This record gives sequence, structure tokens and C-alpha cells, in this order.
Amino acid sequence: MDEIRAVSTSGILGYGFPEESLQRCMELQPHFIACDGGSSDAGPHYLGSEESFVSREAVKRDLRLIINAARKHDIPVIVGSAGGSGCNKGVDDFRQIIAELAHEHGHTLNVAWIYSEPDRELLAEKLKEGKLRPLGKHGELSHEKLNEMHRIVGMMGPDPIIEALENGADIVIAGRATDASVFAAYPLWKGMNPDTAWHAAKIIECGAATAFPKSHDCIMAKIRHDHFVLETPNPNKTLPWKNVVAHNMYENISPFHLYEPGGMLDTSKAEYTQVDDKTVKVSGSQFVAQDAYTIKLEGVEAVGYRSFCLAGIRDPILIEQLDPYLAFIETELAKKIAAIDPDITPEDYSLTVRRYGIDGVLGPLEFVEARPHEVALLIDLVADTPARSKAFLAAARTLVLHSHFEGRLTTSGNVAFPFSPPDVYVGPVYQFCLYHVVELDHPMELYRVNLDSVGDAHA
Amino acid sequence: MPKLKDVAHIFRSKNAGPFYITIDIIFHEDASYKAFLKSGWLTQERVSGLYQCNREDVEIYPYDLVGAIKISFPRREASGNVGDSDLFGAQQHVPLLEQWVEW
Repeated sequence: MDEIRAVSTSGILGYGFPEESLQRCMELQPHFIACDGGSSDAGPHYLGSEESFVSREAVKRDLRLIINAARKHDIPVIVGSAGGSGCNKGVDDFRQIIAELAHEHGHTLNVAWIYSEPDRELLAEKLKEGKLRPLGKHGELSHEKLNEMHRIVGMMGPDPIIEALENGADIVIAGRATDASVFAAYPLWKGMNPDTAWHAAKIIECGAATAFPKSHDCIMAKIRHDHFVLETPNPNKTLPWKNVVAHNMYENISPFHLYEPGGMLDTSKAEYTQVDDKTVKVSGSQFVAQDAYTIKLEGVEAVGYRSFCLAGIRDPILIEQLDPYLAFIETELAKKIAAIDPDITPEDYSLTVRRYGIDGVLGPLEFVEARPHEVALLIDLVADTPARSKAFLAAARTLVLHSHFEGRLTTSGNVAFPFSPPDVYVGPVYQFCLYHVVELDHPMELYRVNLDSVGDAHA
Repeated sequence: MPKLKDVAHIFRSKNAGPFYITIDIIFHEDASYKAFLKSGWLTQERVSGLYQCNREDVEIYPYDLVGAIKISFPRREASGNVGDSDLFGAQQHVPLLEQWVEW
């Protein structure tokens, strides 16, 4: 095929997009519609808890419009990183939503789904073979740590999605996938030049982030072998070429090199032309294939349970004394806890006090030295059980309220709590703990395409 | 002698994955972009001092086509760690933003 037309509906599935924009895109007869569902940006909680950071209703609304449009034109739909983190439950949640939509609208759909939580034994084998390696300065992974990890996903490349399309999928639900793979899969399947397929994919994975004024919206790419053209369908927007160039920078370490499974996209020699105020033409980027097929792993470990409280300070004498005061609280808390249970050591919990108004945001990087007239303390307590998290925070809170400090006049209480109860129990806490790649013997080694028909014909 | 924030059109920080911070400075004018680069003010050393990271881990990319500079370095704490105070890395541009630059 000489031209592949792609629609990206928005940066994240469930963020919404104007229905008219999708309609305008459909008038240009796209070959597929795709949307990325996830990101690690919202933090480790979502991969840890399997919760989505976008509401089910919002995802269903977007999918409804996308699937109805795609069925009308008989083109496939691809969604990646289902559920936000791309965990297996996220994939299953999307399957459920799509089954509901098929019934509600009378569609019969071939649904393909691809999980991305790799088999631990296979990963252990890879580790033994030296094929599971750290990136940057991260340390080697131990077998023990690999076993203990709460949840792992492997960011798939386009290959499993291509296999799903090859098997006749009307809709592909991918677990964790690289953002660009979700958009590069179809053009690559149809034999498009990887240079333009990958670069176009990288630009449109964020939806209309490049259009002005910026809002969640659709964008269209017409991909050819020697160039691609980007176009905003929104009559109230323009697409400035500089925004398209600048998007190469977004959320990447380097603006010129983007590493993907199977290769690296080099945009350093790309050229950008403003065709008209809504259209930009791009050429000159290069996808350099690599011998080793590596995929990035994301993983979280469970580190405990969180409770926190917020305490306001307006007393100028305490604000002046805050450094020694908080050091005193930390020591006293350790003593108080040891008095309750001598087996508990400071390794079993962590107390973090953020001082908003002084250095709450930048911490040790703060460069302004002046003291404010008011400070908010965020007292964060993470402990190894929910009960200890609550109990130790209660102890810390009492200490902050009633401890002595140099020059103290306020003997009835040192801080102002905004709520009753002042303490908030949050729940389990996770941390990202994998910055590693795994080398695969072949692109499908960790992945399997599942296929089922849903809808009226099936019911 | 301007502050960096006075010559920028966009000045933002963001996570580049959970373990990196990346800062984009897009200049108002090509002239100030070129003058800034030529001044030699921006070095790995300078960034590592402001952000308390290793000098050799700081990556600096001038981007002539848009008159922009990208600066990336490892986070002190991964995004969302118990010790991290900026989940999205969205306020980490500030130490650079307030710098005076001579050119």
C-alpha cells in the first residue's frame, strides 16, 4: 500500500475527544483507529493495585464512539496499555467493556487480547542466561528480588499486535505496549517503510498534543514510504510545525533517539514543512533495526502501608525552631515505638515530614532561604502493616502537637489540624523497582494472542 | 544579564520514565538560543550542582531546529517512591528557571 491513514483519538483512552473531530477523520477514510490507554506517569500505584487512573465510564464513552465509527467503515481498532498500567486485569476490564458495547450496539466483533505480565519462570531463565539486564546505572537483579516482585509487565512491540491483525481481529486490546507500537503496528503489517511508520507513530501517540490550542482531541496521519503528513481535523485548531518538532522532545531522555523493541528511531535528520496551517509534512527520519530484540520491563514492589496527616503552623517561634524540632520528633517517635514494642526498629517504618512553604517541593534542592509566616507539615508514615501505619502516625501526630521547643509559649498545642480525624489511612504503597530490558529469542516469546468473537451472533 | 525564565517560551520538566527527569527549554528567539549556547554557561557540571546528581549522568541536547535545549538526568528518587515529592517531575525546572545567565 502506498498510503496508510491513521487516526489517533487522544493521548489516553478515556481522556475524551470531540465527536465531530472523529467524524471529520472518518470522512478521510482511515485504515485504522488507535489509542493508547496508559502511562507509567501516574506512578507505581496503578500497576501495584491494578486500578485504572481513568474512570470506567470515561473509557466506555471513548470506546463507544471509536468502535461505532470503526464498524461503520469496517476498519480495525487498536488500544494499548489497557487499563492504564497494561496489567492483565486492565486487559480483562477492557474486554468486559467491549463485550457490553457489542451487545448494546448489535455489533459482532472479533476481539483479540494480549496479556503482558510475563511468566516469572521464563524471566528467571532469562536472568540466568544474562538476557535480563539493567539499564543505566541500575544494579543487577537478583533471583530473590525477581521472585518477590509484586507485579511485572513487559512493554510489547508491534509484533503481537500485528499477529492479532493477521488473525482477523476487529479490535486488538494490548496489555502494556510502547506508546508508538500501538500506532506503528498496522502500517508495518501492511509493509510500510519503518522510517515513516515509527516516526508518525511517535508523534500521534499523544493524540492532538501538537495542535494549537492544546486540548484532548483527535489527529490524523497519512503515512507514505518517503514522508508522512499530519493533520488536525478540528476547524478551530492549527498545527504549527514547531509543535510537531518539539513533540520529539516530550517525555523522552533524548529528542533524537527513541528506543523501541527491535530498533531505534533516529529523528536527528528529519525535516518538517508547514503545508498549510492545519497540515505538516515530515520526512528524513530513520528507523535503525537492531540485532537484539529487547523489550523494557516495568515492575513494582510492595513496600508497606501509608497513613498521613496535614498540620499547619502559624506560630513564628516554632517556624524559627522547626529544624531542631522535627529532628527531636523523629528521635522521640523511635523511642515511643520501642517502648510499645521493643522488637520494632526504625527499618520497619519510615517517617517523612514535608515542609510545604519551606522546601516541601524541592527538598534538598531548594535554594530560597527565607522563612515564611506559615508552614504546612505533611506527615507521612509508611509501615509494614496497616495497623502499625495508623498507630505510628497517631504517635507522630501527638508528638508534633505537644512536644516542647526552645522559647515555646503555646503550651496547649503547637499545630493546627484542618480535619477530624486528622489522620488519613491511604492503603498499600508500591515502588517502581525495575529499569531493565529482556532480550527475546523472537518477538512473540513473552506474548500470546487470544481471539474470541463477542456480540449478538455469539449470544 | 537575563534570567533563564525571561528568554524562554516554554520551560518545563517532566518524567522521562519513572527514573529520569527531563527539562525542555524552548527559547522565544533563535538569537537568544544561540547566544545562550555560545555563552558556555550550560554544562554537565552546572546541572549536576543544581540537581545533586553525578556530572557524567547529565545529558544535554541542543535542538537547533526549534531553538530548544533538552536536559535529562536520573531522579534522586524514582517517581512515587516514599522519598519522592514530585510524582510527575513537573516542578523540577525551577532551580534552572531562576538562574541568571551572562551573555
